[in-house]
Amino acid sequence: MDKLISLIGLALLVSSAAAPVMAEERPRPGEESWLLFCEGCHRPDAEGPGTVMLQRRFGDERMAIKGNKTLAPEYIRSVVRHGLLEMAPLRQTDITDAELDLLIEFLASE
Amino acid sequence: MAAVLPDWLSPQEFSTAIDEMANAIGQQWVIHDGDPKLRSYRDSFSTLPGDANVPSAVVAPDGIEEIQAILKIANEHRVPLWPISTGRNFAYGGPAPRMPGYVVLDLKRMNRILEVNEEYAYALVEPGVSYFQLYEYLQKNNIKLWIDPAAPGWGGIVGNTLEHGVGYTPYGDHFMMHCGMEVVLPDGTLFRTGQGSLPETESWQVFQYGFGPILDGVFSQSNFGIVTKMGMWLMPEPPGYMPFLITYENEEDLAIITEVVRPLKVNMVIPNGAFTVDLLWDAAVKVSKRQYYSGKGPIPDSARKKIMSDYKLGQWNFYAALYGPPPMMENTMQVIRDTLGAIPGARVWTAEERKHDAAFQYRSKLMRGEPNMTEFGLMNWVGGGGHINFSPISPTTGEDAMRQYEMIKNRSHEYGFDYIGEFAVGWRDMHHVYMLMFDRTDDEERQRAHELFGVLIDEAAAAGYGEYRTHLAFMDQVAKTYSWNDHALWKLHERLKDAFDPNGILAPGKQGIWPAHMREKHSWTS
Repeated sequence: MDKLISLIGLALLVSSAAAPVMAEERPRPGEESWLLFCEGCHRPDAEGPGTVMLQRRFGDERMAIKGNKTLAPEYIRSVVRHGLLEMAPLRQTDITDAELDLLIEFLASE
Repeated sequence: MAAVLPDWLSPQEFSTAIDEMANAIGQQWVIHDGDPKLRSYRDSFSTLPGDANVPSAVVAPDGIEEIQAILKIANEHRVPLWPISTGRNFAYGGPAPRMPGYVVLDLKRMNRILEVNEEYAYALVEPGVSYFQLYEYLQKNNIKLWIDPAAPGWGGIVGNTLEHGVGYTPYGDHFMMHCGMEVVLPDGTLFRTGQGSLPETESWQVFQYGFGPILDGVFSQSNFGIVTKMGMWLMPEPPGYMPFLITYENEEDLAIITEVVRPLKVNMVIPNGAFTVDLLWDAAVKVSKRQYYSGKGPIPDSARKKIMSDYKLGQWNFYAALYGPPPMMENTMQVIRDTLGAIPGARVWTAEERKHDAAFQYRSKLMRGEPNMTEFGLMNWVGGGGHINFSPISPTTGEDAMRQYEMIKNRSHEYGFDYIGEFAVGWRDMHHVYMLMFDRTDDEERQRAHELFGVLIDEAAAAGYGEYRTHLAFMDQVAKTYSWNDHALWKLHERLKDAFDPNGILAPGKQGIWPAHMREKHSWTS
């Protein structure tokens, strides 16, 4: 029976029910903003369309935005708020100015 | 820069209304007076000029009481509000309102995951929750439930579901998988659908129908109310997962593929959204057009052949997946090999064989509910991000598939654009999604794309195909094609509009549904 239960994945029936409400930490840490808004396009590989585009335009050295020392904070702030070509802008309701500062710090870290 | 305002609203009255809204929710959550931040609410990708449909103001409430306060003020001053959730409905308008000068009601701050129930496999969420956010939450809390994201994971669960969006797991029909809504009507009335109206219920998210008429559908693709909470069924993580790709050599194979897919889907042999994807859709996340062709107009056949050979792709590329205990998946896979795999020229690819293929990887993730942004790489095909989706519905037959493909491809080529498309079979129908991509920096090309889109709507309708969703700029035109019995359905929508929203403040013109005071100018029903 144990084997059957694990085989068809019913084990979750014995797990506890309701998980607690997620109280999101605000201001949101930089890494969280990265996961929610940036990593999808800027993950440093062929599955990140932003990375692919930057690689075509500027080469391997500058394809990543995480840990990229050539990106000035003001430039990042401007692109995030105004958008650039394929990148749609992030609104104040997506990320506040204080959270954007934390994100910029996170991007600069190794 | 002075804001464009609706023609019935004086600058003074508008200003009074905005001040009152700021008092109600806090000045920091109101944007107006030509603030450059308003431009972050434009649609950066459409066939309209860059600054078309910029709102006059934005208000971003948090909570029911703040929404009700804004509605009250909007009713008093007849301010048109345009609700958005995450504002990522790109290809269909993004966060932009239907007309310039509307006030965007941005619900993104309301992004609480109110409940996740692992036993009954559902979540209850607010409108601002994105696919990435719910996914991260499930991962961090080690909850063995899958979400069903739209291809770009930055989108929102409530918004996508209300727009009738589709996904890639067996839970791909999002509206079918929602369970229970909380809605605020334009007059501030707050109510819950289904079992949610029984005060002591614990069944709101486990039974969709409640007692009496089912109203949920009335609040999808409409402008009758604001959905503030929604339940969503989530798929329990299965004990096994087997994604696959089958490539086909010839354009005309689309007919036989579709004929073979139909019984496999209707009988639920293939449990998830089955996608027949054309060459360029698959290739464009890996290569740019310029790498293969530097001329104008659609890419020539010789270059297509080269892409097929370089990336081991077909003219058509069929993606689906199997789920469950491995012996069951292996048996079903044999059925797939004996049917779809037996079409002459077919080649079946496993995940192991395509593990370095970005297109296979992102589809494989989508079919197991892992949100990502890889498909957005399609934008790199031309560059600049210009795109708009044409998405007609048909029965799942080879004849319909070929007819739509020929019709759209030929028109597309005639207007100088590549055909980039896919056919998604959910259960009985096909959603044919044609991705019209263009260079937004070239005004002539952008306008040509706009013209082509209008031609396609009418041509498809004449052949019996209607769109399931469309961009803001084409809502009236598509609505007009649903004209049976002298536009009886849209006349009924207008009666509902008058009943729910007598002052016509909520999303005027959404889906071609206009309030009474704008009908003379915009409506075609009388």
